[in-house]
Amino acid sequence: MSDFYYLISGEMNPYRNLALEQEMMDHIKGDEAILYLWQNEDTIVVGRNQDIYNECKADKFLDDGGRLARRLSGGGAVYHDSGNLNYSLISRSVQGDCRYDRLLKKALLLIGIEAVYNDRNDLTVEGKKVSGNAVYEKDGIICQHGTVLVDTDISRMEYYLTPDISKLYRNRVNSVRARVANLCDFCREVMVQDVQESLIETAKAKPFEYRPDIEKVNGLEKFYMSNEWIFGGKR
Amino acid sequence: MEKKYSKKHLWIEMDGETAIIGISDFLQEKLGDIMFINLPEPGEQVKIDERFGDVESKKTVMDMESIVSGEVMKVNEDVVDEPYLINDAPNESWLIKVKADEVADNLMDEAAYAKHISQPWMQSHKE
Repeated sequence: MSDFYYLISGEMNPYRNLALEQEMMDHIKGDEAILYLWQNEDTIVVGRNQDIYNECKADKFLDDGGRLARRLSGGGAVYHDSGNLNYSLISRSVQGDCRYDRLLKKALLLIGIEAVYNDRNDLTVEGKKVSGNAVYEKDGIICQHGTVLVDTDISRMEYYLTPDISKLYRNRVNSVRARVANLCDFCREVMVQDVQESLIETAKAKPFEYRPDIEKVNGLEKFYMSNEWIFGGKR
Repeated sequence: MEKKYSKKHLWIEMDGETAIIGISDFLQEKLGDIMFINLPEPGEQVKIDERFGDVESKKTVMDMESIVSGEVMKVNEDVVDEPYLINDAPNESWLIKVKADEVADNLMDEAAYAKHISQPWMQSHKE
């Protein structure tokens, strides 16, 4: 059994949260695992190799006050707001309990929701996607992260995300429109905080106490905010 | 030319001072279908142990760290355009050619690498 630690971000800023997540990968010792829980306010996040203009109404979303971000992991575009919970499971191995899929499934069961992974590896309830995931690996440290739709504004999400017009441009990765739902559609009273607590309890995680390298986090935040990265995918 | 391998599953072949770098068969199998690869431009410098690119497969995005220091002379545009070539023929689908000033000193020959990847914890992806 790995030693699990958890950290809940107090930020709602996608660039800061992505920077903190990446810097955290430097703090994994032995078979420790960190469960990082975070949220972003009104943000679209595209995958490492996606064309942002194919994936969403980028300019309109910015005009309407949203924020655009690009993550290091692959896969499709996602929408975050305060009704969505992001989890990151950072570890050296993906064996045993260090697997996001087992952890998340168990955690949802604990709050009375039975979820299954479909053939695209999305977590679904009654056939509707409630959670997506992606993986980034650097220097032997693996970051498995994903979304959990608890009470997200799905009509806003569907208005701005445009996977249908996503076209094959060179070998960029295209999103697939999935039928999505919120956990609160299946379990009325569930809130983001309940999912957080359930994940922590399932992992039997202790609070993670560490000192991030603030200079590095600031540098990474600047990188995540840069137009070269967000629009061009240039590292 | 004889290939040598790094612990992180890149291969290298030396052609005089030119180092030719690719992804090992073991790594391409572990990654699964490769969708995208990002590589440096010719003229850029790479450095031992520093990131020079990344690869996106259906399962993951993985950073690649260099096993040579020097200037990138050539980039294989064929694998940038058609990354699945790496899955089809990892030993022929080189990524970059580098004018090597220095090569990592901890590389393995074919036999040592075969032993390295046969360790039980290396086989976990086949679960």
